[in-house]
Amino acid sequence: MFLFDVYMTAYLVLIGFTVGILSGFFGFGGGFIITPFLFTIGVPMNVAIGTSIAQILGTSVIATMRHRTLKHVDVKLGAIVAVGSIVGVNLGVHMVEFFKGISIEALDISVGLTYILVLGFISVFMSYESLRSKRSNNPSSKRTFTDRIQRIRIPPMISLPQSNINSISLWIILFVGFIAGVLAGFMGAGGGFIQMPSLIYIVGCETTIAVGTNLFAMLIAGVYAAISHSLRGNVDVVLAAVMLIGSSVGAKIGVSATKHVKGANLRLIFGLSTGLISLSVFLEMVAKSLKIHLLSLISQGVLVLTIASVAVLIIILTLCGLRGDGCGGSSEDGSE
Amino acid sequence: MVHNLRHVLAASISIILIIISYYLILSNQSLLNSLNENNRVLYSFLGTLIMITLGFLMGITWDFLDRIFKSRNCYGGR
Repeated sequence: MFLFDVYMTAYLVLIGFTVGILSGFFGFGGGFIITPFLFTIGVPMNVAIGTSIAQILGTSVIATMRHRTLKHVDVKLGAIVAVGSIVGVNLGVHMVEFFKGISIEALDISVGLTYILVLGFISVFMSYESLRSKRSNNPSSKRTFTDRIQRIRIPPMISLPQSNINSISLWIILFVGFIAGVLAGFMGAGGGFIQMPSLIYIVGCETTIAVGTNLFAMLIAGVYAAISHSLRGNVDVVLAAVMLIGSSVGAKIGVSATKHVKGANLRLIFGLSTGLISLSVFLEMVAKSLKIHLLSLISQGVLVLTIASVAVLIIILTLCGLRGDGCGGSSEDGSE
Repeated sequence: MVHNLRHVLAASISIILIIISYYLILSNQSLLNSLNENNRVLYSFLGTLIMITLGFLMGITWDFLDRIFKSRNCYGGR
């Protein structure tokens, strides 16, 4: 199967570490980072996808436990989102099969365009909203849209005390999970980068609660996804376990950093990084269609630089926060 | 002080458990591979269980380590 040497192990641990940092900080699994990296070291694409999902499952357990200690996890909300997400993932997978039936090129183009549009939209929206929120110094400026959503009263209505939501339709939460699941299944990623903003802007969670709850929902959906990929022979458990060593340390750093950064800043960093990832996918698509190798290299460079710089920024934030921490715990809760 | 000792003990035990788990996984790599080829149902449950267990062990280890460092800071490193 897969032979291990010291360099390969170090490389895998490093990938896990970087992904763990981003996972703990933003609340997404990082499937769209791990899969290409595994593919570049010679792991077949189907095994790369399955293994990255298994690794995300392990990281989600660690990060969820950390966020739960910080009281950032709304279990009730996470469980409902996960139910919608599992249904959505199945539809997304069927969409992949449908486009694959037309042609591989059709699948490549449709997935690529969806990546660019979804990530681009999230990036512009979150960056604009967080900048406006910072400028106006009004933490509740993002609530206008959320309030409108919460006024939709389709029974059954539920309350989520931990997320400070008095009344919201169950169907809205299921719908959020479902849409995130469809896009996740179709784009071959965990879906955290869609679910996390949806929990903030549609459901109305605080940023840190959205991060923790999203990880919990991903943990539930991850069990389902890991089992179904394993049944198809797509998971190399040993590879996933080795990457988990790095991501364990990374997730700890990422989660700790959320204590020391304000919600608006976290959303701004998230928005900017998704924008750069969207740009990277766009460059890759252009490089493929025009067959320009240099553009493909630039695309990979943008992706690696974005991930590395965000990871370094998070480490710096954690170190700064640790210096300012007293015995009373966190200096600020990172909320709005 | 007694609490700190308990946390140190708990963290040590969980680190030892993580090392044992990794030893078992790496030494039984060929068994896992043959399960992947011959009995995927068992492999899928075992694989998922391995990842959840490792995640859980690492999670509680970090939790105990945090408590140790927090109490060390609060009591001036005593």
